[in-house]
Amino acid sequence: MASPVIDLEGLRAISASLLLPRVGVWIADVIFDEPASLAGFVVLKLGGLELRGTVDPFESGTFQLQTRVRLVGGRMGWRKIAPAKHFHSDGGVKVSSVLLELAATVGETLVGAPSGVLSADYVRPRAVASATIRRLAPVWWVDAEGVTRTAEARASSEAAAAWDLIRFDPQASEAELAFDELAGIGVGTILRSPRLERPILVNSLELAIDKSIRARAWVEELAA
Amino acid sequence: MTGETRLLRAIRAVVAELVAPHAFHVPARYRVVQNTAGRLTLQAFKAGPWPDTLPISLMCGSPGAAGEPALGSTVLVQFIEGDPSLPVVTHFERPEGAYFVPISSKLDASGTVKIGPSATLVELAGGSAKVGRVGDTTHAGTIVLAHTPAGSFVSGAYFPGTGAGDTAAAAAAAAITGSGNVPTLLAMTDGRITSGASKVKA
Repeated sequence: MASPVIDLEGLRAISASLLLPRVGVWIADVIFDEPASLAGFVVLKLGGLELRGTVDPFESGTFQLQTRVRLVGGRMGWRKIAPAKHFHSDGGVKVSSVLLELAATVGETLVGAPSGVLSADYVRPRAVASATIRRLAPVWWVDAEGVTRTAEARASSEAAAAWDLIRFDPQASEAELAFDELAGIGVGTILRSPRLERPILVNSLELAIDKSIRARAWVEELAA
Repeated sequence: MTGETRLLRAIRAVVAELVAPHAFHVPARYRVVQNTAGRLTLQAFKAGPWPDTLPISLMCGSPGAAGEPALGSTVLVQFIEGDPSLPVVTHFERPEGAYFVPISSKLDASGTVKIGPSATLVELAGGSAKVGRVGDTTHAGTIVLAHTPAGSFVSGAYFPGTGAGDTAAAAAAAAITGSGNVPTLLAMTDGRITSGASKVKA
């Protein structure tokens, strides 16, 4: 099996790691065996998966021939400090109004904001933007396109690619997996195996990609 | 921040997110900019941490209490149950502050409003004169009668009580004496206040 392709803005990398959390922003670390200068909003191709994120200049750098680049999903806006603002509507402040304004302020794109209504007032102090979205939409994440989404819960689906179970620790709720395709397994994937007493649901995934793809998944066991 | 280690930056980010909700557990200082139909438009004391607010409601400390704080006065805003969607003004300027005296103040009840039941003195509107109540005595004036030395009635006049009335009564009596007749002064000091407002008692 050929090594998976790791391509960042047309530059081939030798390895990458990708953290896909159930809530929050995905993070990728990409390593080049030659100097590379990258900045801003970029496209990372990992096998069949395309991810759009922003280079974190504080977590990236070059030493001799090796360059390490960290990408943060989206526009790296949710870590910004949003200015204080007071919202008011006699009919009730919409959650979507607060979050859409916040996303626009920090430079992110938000799709599918919650539909709830708060009271007549909402006061946002000057604070990190992620604190506000976490309060109003506890389940939020940045998808592969770099778009922020919210939902009552992450959608789940059966695995759409072949995978191998290396080991499973029911006490730590961790599974180590190996697979060839990145596009078919992610957060919300349901994994079934004769070696598992019950199916497991992937909540978070940490991938290591070089000559092969290995993953550590934080899971929860489902009903049999 | 540049110059920080990666670990410190990560710790700082985690702590910032964890403590962010606690910002709503401490009162915030504001200045009153405008009173609008019982709601206050406020300006943050310190630009930055808190926003200037659109009109928000008052939640005074006593039941039935309301009022319009003076423009420019300092108030405290709190968030009920630490909820950013429930800001209310709860405290007002301190007594020694320049804007302590409000524009208006109201204390109301569906039953009884009691003021100073244990006080030795209750002052209203800075006054110093005593307040008359139903049952208190009154000086209702003086009737001056003039009659001849033989006792025949000549004339009579009424003068209102106290002050100029008493002086005028005394002058009328002197004039009657000067004319050779005999004055009789009847001071009506045994009056009583018999009715008053049903809503105010002292």
